[in-house]
Amino acid sequence: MTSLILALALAHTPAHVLPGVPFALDKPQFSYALFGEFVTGEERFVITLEHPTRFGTPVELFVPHRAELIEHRPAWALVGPGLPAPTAAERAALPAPLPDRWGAVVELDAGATRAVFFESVMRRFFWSTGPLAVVFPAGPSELWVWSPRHTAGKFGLGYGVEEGGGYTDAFKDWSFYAY
Amino acid sequence: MRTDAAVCCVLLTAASAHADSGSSRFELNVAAEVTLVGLTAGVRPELLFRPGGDGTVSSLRLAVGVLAGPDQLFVPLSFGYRAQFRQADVVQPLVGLGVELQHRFVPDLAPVRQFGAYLELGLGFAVTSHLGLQVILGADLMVLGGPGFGFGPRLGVGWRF
Repeated sequence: MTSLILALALAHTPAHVLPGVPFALDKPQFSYALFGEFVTGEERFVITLEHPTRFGTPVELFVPHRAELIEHRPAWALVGPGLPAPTAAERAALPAPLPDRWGAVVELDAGATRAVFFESVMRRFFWSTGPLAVVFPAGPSELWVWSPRHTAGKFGLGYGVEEGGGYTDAFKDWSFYAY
Repeated sequence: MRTDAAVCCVLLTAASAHADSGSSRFELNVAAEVTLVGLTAGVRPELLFRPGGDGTVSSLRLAVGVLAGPDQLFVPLSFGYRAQFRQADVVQPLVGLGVELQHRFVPDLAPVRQFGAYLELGLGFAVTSHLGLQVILGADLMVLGGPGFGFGPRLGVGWRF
């Protein structure tokens, strides 16, 4: 029973991110599930982080497994100083110019197949890019999420591994996370 | 699990000892249901066996649901105990508990199975000696196959025979 309570309680900390309003991850050593919604498909979501040292952790972008969202394949990129220069194609796909001396790790979710997973707390299925382990640079960096196909729909960005105990945040905007 | 079975047997034996005519030991209910965590809607037929017959509180319950949502097909299979009180009245409070095996299907993933316990609270309404209605709030806690808690209302109609 104790392990069950811990499993339910120690989920990723959820948060609702909005386009045009950078979302600061105050405790980037912990894990988050950041949910947003493309209304027009033209939006860009920005998550800002600052790590004291280089920090490796997985990032995963997922969308609800619904028939109407089968073409909804948003992309994400880690951008910041000290990261490798993107390829020309990756640079062209970015939703905004990179600042000087910034590099990028770009995940365009362009594969032929998509991973599917079941999230047991909200009991939902998602299509996912699959987790990709990346090394965040020391200092400031940003995660960008955008919709290369300009499709509308919800998305979630999974970040990190270490549970931070922010599970009660799910009740702040429960219906947005659950449906 | 052995303790739960023993308690169940004691309850059912006690119910049998106080049985009246025992003419209507079975009850078939069909409930419309919405699950609010993992949104689905559908039906959950259930068969109740009342060892003590008419007028007794205790029954065994076997139910299977078929519910569809925007992202999944949900098929729960339940087995448990239900107590329905005040059998002589029109309004009959009920409470139940048991175990549940939940199956969830999407086209491009192997079926997801979870196992845990359920709890139900509600009211039964005796329309006639055979026909009844139920308003029930069900909740479940899954412990195997991925932890999770769910709940949802059910509206049912049933026939005792």
